[in-house]
Amino acid sequence: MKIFESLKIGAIRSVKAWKGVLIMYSLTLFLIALIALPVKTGIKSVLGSSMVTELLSKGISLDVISDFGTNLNTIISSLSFGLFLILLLGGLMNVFLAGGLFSILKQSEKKPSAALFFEGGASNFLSFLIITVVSSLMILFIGFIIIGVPAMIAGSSSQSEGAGFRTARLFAMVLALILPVFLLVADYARAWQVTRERKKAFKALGFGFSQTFRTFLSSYPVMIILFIIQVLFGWMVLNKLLGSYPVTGGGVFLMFLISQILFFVKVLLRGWRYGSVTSLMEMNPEKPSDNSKVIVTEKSLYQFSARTLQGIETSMEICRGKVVLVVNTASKCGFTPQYEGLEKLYQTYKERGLVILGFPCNQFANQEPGTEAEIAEGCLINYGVSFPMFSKVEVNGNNADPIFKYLKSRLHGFTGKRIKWNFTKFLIDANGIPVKRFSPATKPENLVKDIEKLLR
Amino acid sequence: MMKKNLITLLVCLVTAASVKSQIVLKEPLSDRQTYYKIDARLDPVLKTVSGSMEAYWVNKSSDVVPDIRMHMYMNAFRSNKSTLYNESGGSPGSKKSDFGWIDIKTFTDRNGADLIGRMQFISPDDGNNQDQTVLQILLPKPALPGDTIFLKFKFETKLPSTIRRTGFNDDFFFVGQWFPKFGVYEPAGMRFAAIGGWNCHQFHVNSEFYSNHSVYDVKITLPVEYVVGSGGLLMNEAVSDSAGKIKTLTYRAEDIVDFAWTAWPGYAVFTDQWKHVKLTLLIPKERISQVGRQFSAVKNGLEYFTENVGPYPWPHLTVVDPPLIGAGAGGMEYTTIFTSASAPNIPDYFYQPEMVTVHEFGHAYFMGILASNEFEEPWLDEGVNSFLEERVMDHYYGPEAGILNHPWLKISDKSLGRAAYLLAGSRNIVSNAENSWNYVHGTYGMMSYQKTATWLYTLMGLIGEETTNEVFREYYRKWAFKHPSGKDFIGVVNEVVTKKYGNRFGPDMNWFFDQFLYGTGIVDYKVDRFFSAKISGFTGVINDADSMAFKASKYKEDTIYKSTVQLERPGDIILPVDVMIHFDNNDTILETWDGKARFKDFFYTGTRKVDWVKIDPGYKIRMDVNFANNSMTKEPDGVPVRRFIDKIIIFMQFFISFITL
Repeated sequence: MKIFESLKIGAIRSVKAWKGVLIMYSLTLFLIALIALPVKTGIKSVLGSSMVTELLSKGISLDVISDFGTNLNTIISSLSFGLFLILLLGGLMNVFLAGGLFSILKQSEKKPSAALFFEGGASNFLSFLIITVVSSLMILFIGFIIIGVPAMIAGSSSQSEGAGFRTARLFAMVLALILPVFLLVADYARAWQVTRERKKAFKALGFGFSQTFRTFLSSYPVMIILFIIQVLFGWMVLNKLLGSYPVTGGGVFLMFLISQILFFVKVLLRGWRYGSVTSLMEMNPEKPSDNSKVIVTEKSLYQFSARTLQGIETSMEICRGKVVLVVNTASKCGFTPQYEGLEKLYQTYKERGLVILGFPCNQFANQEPGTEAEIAEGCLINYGVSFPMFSKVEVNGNNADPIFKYLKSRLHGFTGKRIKWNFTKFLIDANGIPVKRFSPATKPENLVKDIEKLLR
Repeated sequence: MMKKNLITLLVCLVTAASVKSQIVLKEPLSDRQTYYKIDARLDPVLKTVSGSMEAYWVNKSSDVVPDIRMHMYMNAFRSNKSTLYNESGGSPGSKKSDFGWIDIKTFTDRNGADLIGRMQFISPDDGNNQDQTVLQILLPKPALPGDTIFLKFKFETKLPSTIRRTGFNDDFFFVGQWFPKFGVYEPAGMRFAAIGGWNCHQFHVNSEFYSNHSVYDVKITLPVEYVVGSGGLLMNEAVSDSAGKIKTLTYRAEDIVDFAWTAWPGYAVFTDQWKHVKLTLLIPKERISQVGRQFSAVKNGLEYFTENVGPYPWPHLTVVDPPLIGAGAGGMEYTTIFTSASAPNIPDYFYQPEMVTVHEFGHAYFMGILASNEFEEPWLDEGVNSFLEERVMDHYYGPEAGILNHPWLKISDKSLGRAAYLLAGSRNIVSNAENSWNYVHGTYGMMSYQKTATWLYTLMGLIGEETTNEVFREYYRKWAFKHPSGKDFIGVVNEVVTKKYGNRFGPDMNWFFDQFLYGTGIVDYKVDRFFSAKISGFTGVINDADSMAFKASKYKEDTIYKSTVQLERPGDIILPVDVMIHFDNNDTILETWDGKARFKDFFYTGTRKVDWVKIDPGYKIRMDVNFANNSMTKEPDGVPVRRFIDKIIIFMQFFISFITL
């Protein structure tokens, strides 16, 4: 669920950040033009007003290249050096541009703007440079370990020739599966860094690692989907465009136009990746640090109190002797229609002693942004909710409501204590002792059996 | 013992009969001046091939010959002071097992008289007394015309660990240049020799071979697990020890110039048939996916050569694709067996294995059938063969993609050859008519292979493709199974060209070979500029008293232009060239320029103006070092350059995007 949610949010944010994408696209084109245009002029001056270009109708012709004679070595080496410089500069530029893109993709009240983009790029540059260099080195090193070493071992035995190559090819696939992990680390580190005032690259990398592995089950699928889409897209575009040979000026212009649109899309895809990882990070906020761990000593639900939507502090004593269902809710979630089911449950069982307590929470993808009044109105109008609703709370992190801290400490979810999403449900028996926890995806009607058991 | 003697007797009888009889071919193709019968055993541990050899040489000249000269090629690997290693630098290795040599254990004549005392090593090429690759035997009695000199050897050949055509690596063996081999006795007049004598050169780093056509009866004994391929036809295969671990293979070859074989347990063997030729392919098991490619390359070669040169006479042909551990043996020819050079996982748009296969196959013609002297005229084999190879590749694998056919980039084989010539720094320091070891500054390969192929293309550009094919057919008809020299080839060209074109290119084509084969010049033709100027009426002052001015042109109706086309010849080589001139009214004029002067101007008067000029519009003068200056136009086509640059931009955009995180 989080996978598609984050992909969706990432895509939307990427499109909204089109200005940043455009800047990224234009600067890359500008940089490449720095070498491409002089080369073009050089070739044109060498060919002069020759008609030898007729040999080039099907692409590069070695016969024409041979005309350079012994100068070709010089030309190739100086061109390679130029290309190397451009690639180096391109790499540095992308570090800056990534800073800009990440900072306008993060959740913020400010609209993504060019000014924000450049500000983000500049303020994060050094930290991003370290993150990028370290991540790249890690990828190269891992690549060497994963591909180089097995290939060398396999290749060193002379018995089966080509084994080195085949092994390298096999392990390259393994690397392709591992690569997204490093991309996640780098992306999480950068997404985290842009939310912080103080720039600490290594702390960011540390966060990148911990976040990647803590949320691996949702992060990895997101990244591998994006990774495959990007690689396939790039490969298809290059194959089609580099293999096409338009012969008219108009045809070449069309090819160039299409290629530029497609490269813009490629940058947009990168924005999608950054945006998706950013939203994944927001869905899974940082784990509270160790020193703030709270030891929950309370014995039963009745020892807590909470404020209702109307602002009245209410002790949980009112639930004594009743079976209680505690739910964290949100108004704009895919699960929001569960209100209806919850209300039906309440209506069915309230006579027999069931109480449902709703706690709105805005910690999941910003899906409960409204005020208390708006929430109350939404619940009533859309779903006719009549069970008690309480004020907005936090359910995860240091500032989590004590009720949720207590419930989480007693009942673990499938993948840990943390509440994963809106509409996690806790069932508490008539003695105030939590007995069962249900995931957001569990529909209210599926709770009937457990409720009936407690009501008996 | 009794039984063994009987078998020996039987074998002797069979052998005696087989020398004269025809087993492989219907009739002898050559005069068979030499014969070899070898019984050898491979020791895979000691890396030696040892055995006995009976051989003869017939004095078919009218000279009295006092000595015999034989090649002892394997001695080139005996030390780092051999001529081969003097020329290449380095050493055959660091341990005794790395070196190679051939030792003669016993050496007698037909009657068992010892000849060891009459042998000595000589160095006819460079006087290097450390080189032992040419053996001279001073005969007890000079060989009179018609005499047959019969020799019996016991020898041991140790293979070197660094494979230069021949050698071993682990359990891979390629055994070539491995037995004492006769030089070629050339009587006066043969290959334009002034006086008769032995032509028996030392083993050089850049030289190949020269031999008479012979019959070979060869027995090879080795462990049963070895898969063997050879240039002979397999007559018999038998397990030759009681434990069943050793086998003996008996081969027969007729009218080939050398006998080589390979043994490796890792080969997979495939067979195929092309008309009368049984094809055998030995290929590492990992490369089975390339079997089809190899067979179709050989068949393409057979088809093209049969049609455009002459028939392939033997019923057998073995192709070896050596494993990577034996890569040093790759790309070598021995007429009825040759080695390709491929690798695992070669993509199907890259025709390098096919190219090597076609090339080495072609040597069956230019080294095997037309057995020229590769020591002295390497171009006549390697260059002529490269020309045919490039034509086969571009014919069968795409005219613009004979070597690489990828959607992003296509390269034709003939362009690759021309590029190797044009991009070489030392392309005009030595002529094409040199002994193979005299190509200084690393020019041997470029000169013998690619430069020759490129000027043969230029010759074809002048005389046409069909006449070129006729040249090769006639060369084959006249010289097959003889030993033609370069001058003999030129003679065939002259004959065929004058028969077809009369005096069009002069009384003969010697002017062409004088410049390309024997000269060092380059070809370069250039359009300097062209312009069309309006012809104005007569104005001016004749004398002070009588000035006159005629405003009106005598051409009243139209504006009249005088067009001038200025051509230049910066290169030294003189060739007749076509010049195509195109006018703005779509007229096209084809002129010819004999190219003799350093420049040439053409003038045209009329209402039309010149739009563009092309020298050699068909790009047939492939020796021209600069195609770009061969033409000039008012409206150059910028589209290909723009397309190229745009693609560079696209590629770099995506590339930068890929490599950044």
